[in-house]
Amino acid sequence: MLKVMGRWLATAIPIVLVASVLTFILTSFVPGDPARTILGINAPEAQVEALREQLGLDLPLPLQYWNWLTGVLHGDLGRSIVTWGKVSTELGSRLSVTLSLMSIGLVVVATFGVSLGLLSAIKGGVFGKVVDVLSLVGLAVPGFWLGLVLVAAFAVAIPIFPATGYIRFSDSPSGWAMSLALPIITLALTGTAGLAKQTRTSVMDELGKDYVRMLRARGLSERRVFLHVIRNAGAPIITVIGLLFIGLVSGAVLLETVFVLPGLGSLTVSAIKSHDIPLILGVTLVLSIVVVTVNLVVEICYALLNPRVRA
Amino acid sequence: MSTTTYRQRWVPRIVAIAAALALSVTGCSNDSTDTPPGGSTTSGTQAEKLTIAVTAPATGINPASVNTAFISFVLPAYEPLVYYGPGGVYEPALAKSWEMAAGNTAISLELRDDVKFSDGTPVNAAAVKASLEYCASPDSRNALALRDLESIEITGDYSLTLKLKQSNPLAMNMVSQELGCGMIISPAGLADVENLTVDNPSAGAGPYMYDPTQSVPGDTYTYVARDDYYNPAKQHFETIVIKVIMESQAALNALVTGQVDMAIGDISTAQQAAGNSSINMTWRPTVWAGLNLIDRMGELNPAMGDVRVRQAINYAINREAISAAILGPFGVTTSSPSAEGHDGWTEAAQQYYNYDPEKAKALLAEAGYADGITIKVCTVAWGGLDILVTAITPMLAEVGITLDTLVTTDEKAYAEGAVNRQNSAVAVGYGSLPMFRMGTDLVLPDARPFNGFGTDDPGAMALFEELRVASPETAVEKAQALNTYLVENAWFAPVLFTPILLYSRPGIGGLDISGGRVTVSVIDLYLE
Repeated sequence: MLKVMGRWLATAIPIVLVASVLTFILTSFVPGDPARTILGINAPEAQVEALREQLGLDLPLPLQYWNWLTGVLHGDLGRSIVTWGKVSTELGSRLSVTLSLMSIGLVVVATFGVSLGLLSAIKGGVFGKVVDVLSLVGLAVPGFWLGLVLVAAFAVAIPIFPATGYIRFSDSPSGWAMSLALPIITLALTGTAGLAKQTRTSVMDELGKDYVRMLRARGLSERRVFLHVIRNAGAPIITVIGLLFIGLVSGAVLLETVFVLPGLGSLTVSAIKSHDIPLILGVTLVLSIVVVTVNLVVEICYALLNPRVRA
Repeated sequence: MSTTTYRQRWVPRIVAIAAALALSVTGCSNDSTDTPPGGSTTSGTQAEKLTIAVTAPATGINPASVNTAFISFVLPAYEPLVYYGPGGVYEPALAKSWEMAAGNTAISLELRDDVKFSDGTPVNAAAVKASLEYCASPDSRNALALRDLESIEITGDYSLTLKLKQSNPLAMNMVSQELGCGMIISPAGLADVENLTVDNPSAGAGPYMYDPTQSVPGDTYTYVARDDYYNPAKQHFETIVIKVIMESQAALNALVTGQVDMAIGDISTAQQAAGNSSINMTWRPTVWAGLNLIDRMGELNPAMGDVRVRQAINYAINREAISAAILGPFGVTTSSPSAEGHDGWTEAAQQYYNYDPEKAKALLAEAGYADGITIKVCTVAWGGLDILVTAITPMLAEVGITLDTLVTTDEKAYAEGAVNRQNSAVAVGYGSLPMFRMGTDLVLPDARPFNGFGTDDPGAMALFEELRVASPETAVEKAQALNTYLVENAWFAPVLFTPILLYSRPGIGGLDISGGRVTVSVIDLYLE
């Protein structure tokens, strides 16, 4: 297991660094000038230039990045150039929202997706075809569109859930659950079918292999046979779950905007709109760490399922 | 057209503010210490919570650094010296009275002596002076607001005089909330300006205090009523929450389901909101959109130096067709940059150029351009300005004017296109303001970015200077004269006024918007 951790660490740090460098470079290509955005179109050019200097935007790009990086290494993510608030504070207040959305969404998707996939693999027939059709629908329907439809149906027309907003768990557990219900249902409806299909395919593949016939020939119960099948079919399913979680990162940007959730996704949108480079880099850093951590969890799961990975 | 509330039908309500505006821009003296800012509209009861939805997060809550488009985030926590109230009338706030010197060259302020900052320290002349000096310093992003300020003289513990470098009939704006600096920061706040951010409690003397523990910067801003505020009648709610909802449909959904009490709308949801009988809609045509014919001295394109060519552009535009196509029932056509309710507006100016392509052709021929001309135009791919230019282009082509259009995609390129002398016209959206303010932005030879070629028109400048020193009795007349001159000489080719749209739940009062003040102040809102 230590080897797994070591391999992960050796790739995780470069990945996070490269992500931040790429984000910084891409951000510099975005048309516009943060100082002009802050001061508005009417501000005289001299004032805009003065603000650029004050914010360090007149420095060469490598130096700007180096200044940010050295700050990060000292635990300082800098300040938003728009609000002058601390980036770490802004990220801290929003991380829990996004993680709640993503982790609960993933649990729901994984539970329903794997269960449906197993059922369809075992039952087959019409059930399998239904899963196939639903997975295509789930892949074809955009999450943000589905979110808007769900809001129109179950918040505006039939007021069961709140249309927008987030309630902290500490303020009201039931309110927290209600505020996350529609976003998670949206995630579940768009993500479950795909996972179910992948599960069904993997299990069907395994069920068709020689070792299954051998196990049955040896008289093992179907339950024991199925456990072997699940263990071998697990790796691709876990891969898909990992990818789903990473996909939720980008999905969160749209869903948090539609449902007005104060998470990292909506923060990303407003930071990009206002050319708030420190905030954009801060979000990138946090999300990169989340992604590489998910990769670690996936690697550990692989190792638990397959002893050869641990070697 | 004026403020209109929509339920089952349109109910036009003409707001007569011309007299009030005249009072506001010149030697006004007021001493009504019992009338709170916004107090004239209060129901006298304090409700629990008000939640409003806005479309963009604050650029800060420091009065000296906030972009003035985001004053609503600052005003609940920072009391201004005078309050620019609904209808464009200045009302007492920290200053219980004031007097503008003859010629509009100095303002004397008499402060209340019973006001405390949120940290308990008194608001006195020394604190006000320090706050204004900080806002005028290079550390402030709003220093431009105080560019006419020469010195501040303390004349007593609670009185001071602001001397100006030059006459300015709108100098009261400097000490109101409108330009940021008029909202006073406590000495403790000034001692630690780095922390006047959304991460920390506010340091003002306003009716509320910004509470960072109940806020999520960029999403939710919470303001809690102060117990020690000098005028509880102005605290209409125990808590005010400003919620950022970027997506217009989501904001409307939040309003319909009762999650917010008021939302700022846009044209994409206007028809839907108008058809919903469970919400109120208030709107006012305010922002004129059209072409700013900046090359009016003919420096880049000699044809543009001929007023007949610029008038031909105006006559060639079918404003009614464009307005109906883009804004439907919420569009109002105009030839004038000054909107109804503002001092420069006249009906004749608004309707000066009717659609007359034959007249446009005749004017071009008379100017010696019967074979047509090509004009370079800069526009930007947001705010509908690109669509507007697209709509205008074939109309001008019909009379022989070809537009060579540069579409920029960001503020920087757009601002450069407006001042780099490479374009004869620029598509603009500009909120109508009192005429002196518009003259400062649009007419002065050094006004940038809106006077990109630095047009120095003696006729316009003479009228501007007359307006600068106008008495209260003649201010409106002078403003109208300047606006009429700009229209007749085709400085611009305005097409339509785009509306400010507000949606609210029934029972929310204080939503009046007027030509004098086209924004709604969150502290004016109350429960009916």
